[in-house]
Amino acid sequence: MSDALLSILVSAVVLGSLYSLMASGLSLIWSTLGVFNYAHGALLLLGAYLIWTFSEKVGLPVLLAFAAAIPLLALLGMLLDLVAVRPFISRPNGTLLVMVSTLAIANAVEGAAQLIWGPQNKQIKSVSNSTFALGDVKIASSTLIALALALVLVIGLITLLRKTKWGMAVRAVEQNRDMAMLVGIRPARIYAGVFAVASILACAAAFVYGTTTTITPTKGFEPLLTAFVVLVFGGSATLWGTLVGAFTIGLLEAGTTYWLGLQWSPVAVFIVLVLIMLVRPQGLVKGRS
Amino acid sequence: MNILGSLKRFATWPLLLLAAALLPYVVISGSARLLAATALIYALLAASWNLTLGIGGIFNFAHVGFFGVGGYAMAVATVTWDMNPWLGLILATVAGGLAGALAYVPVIRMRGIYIALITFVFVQLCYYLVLAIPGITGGSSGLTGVPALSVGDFSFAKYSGLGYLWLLGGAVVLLLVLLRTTLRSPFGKSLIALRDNENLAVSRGMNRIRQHLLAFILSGAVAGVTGALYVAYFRVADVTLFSFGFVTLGLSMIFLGGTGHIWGPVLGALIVTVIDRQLTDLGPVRAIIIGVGTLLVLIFLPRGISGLFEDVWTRARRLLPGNPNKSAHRALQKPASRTMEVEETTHVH
Repeated sequence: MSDALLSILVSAVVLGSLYSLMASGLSLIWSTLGVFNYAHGALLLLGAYLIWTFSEKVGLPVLLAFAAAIPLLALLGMLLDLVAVRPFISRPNGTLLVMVSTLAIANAVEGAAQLIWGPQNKQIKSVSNSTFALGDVKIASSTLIALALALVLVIGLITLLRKTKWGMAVRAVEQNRDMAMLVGIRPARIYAGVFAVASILACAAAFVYGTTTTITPTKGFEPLLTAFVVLVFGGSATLWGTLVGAFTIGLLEAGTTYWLGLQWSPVAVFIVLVLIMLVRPQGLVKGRS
Repeated sequence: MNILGSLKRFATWPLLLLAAALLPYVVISGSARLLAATALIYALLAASWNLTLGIGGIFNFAHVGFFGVGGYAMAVATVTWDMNPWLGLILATVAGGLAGALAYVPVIRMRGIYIALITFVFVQLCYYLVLAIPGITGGSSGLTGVPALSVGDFSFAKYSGLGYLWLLGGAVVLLLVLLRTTLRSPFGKSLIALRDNENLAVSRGMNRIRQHLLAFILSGAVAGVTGALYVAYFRVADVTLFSFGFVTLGLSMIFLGGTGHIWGPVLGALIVTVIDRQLTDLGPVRAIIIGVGTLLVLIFLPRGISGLFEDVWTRARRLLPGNPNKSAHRALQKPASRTMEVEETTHVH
């Protein structure tokens, strides 16, 4: 295998991990509440900055900083649900209003991040600098950590939804809110929990993102939009579909960046998206089964 | 019809035109004229957006994209291709309309949230395309040196943009007339019918795709002109035209003003522009205030300012002696208040 191809594969793995973490959180919110969370990129941004602060300013080891950021981000996620989703969800046109409100929040977070952390580039330290050789090419261990994180968390989420009582409650609310309430499930609690879980996934995405690239206050939207493309690409997404979609889009992006140049890769990804939408408009995220 | 009613009917538009003509004599200082021109441009943007978003009830987020396409058409025509600015303006109108048609194609078979997302992607696509072809668009540094509009020797930029104020004021009045005419036409009524009860409307023979496509083209063309005017006024086009900040700002204008009346977004645009200008010195805090403010408006003022005015007006009429029947009749006709509702067309003024 040529070096070029292998380096494309390596960056595809990193991108795929990032997108699967982002997209599975988005997908969870989307299928349970029926809304699109534009502030998901803002959650990623906050997660990355929190991890950075804990490791650089507080001096914790990176993994510990990541662990410390998780509960904080879960709380922020629930707060987001409380202020930007709860007031609108039962209004007519609620989905549109939630989109506008989360967009507004995302903008506000961008401003806040600029205020707190400044516009300079920040990067989270890698967990370890060790590499290992695969043939002639060296692969950083951070790539493997990203991959492991994505696989463990997404498969963990699938298991959580399939096997646990909480997962059943989520699926019950998703399928029939009123019946779920009749058997004693409180949708409001489920929604808060869904946001907490999605935020934890966003925090993991932030960890992958922050260790592989520099973060600035404006960088939350890019992975959000690609994660949306992943959702579409994953088709009638079971979360497995999301995983496949994430790594396919990662490969597409890495490949187009290599062959066409950095500026063309988002164009290529979005054109693929539009084409898919034309062929399969009905099958975006059809709920989990 | 009573005297007040006929006055309202026949004098509103001339009075608005008069106000537009007198505007430069009230707004004299350079910075105030800059603010007024900006507000009028945003008013055009928000009011034309409302044709698809509020009146059509389509979750269209691509409108800022049409605006940017118009702006870039103007800049490319005048700077890269060295065309006459007025020709650029026409080109921008066509480009905006085409962008509207193009953005509608992928959403033909979609509903609600999907439309919002795919139209949002359209804006992103424009953003990345502009960056990808720097030879024509100037890439990330944008296109500077767009010539000002002029008639003969008179440049619109002279006297702190005197000509622009007249042009923009006239354009806002014209757009309001156009929107009202549209709303009262069979086309406008079909849009409202499709929004309120699509199945019934389609079963009565309305062609949803054709009407929505027309709405996209029309509002896209207006947004295209608006973008061209923006670029001709500020003399520069860059990728911030397609930025998220623009989308949020535009949406906050529409929702603050309220989608229920065609003048709602205009009012929202004027208010938000003034507030936004007061906040420019605050840097990042500005984004926070606009974001949180938008959220508060959405929560506490669901029908926007125009909805608030309407409630006050309806109550005031009920208190007036002599026409209880009329208000009762109106209450019957009025659909349940919703955020995205445009009231029956007689309300529109």
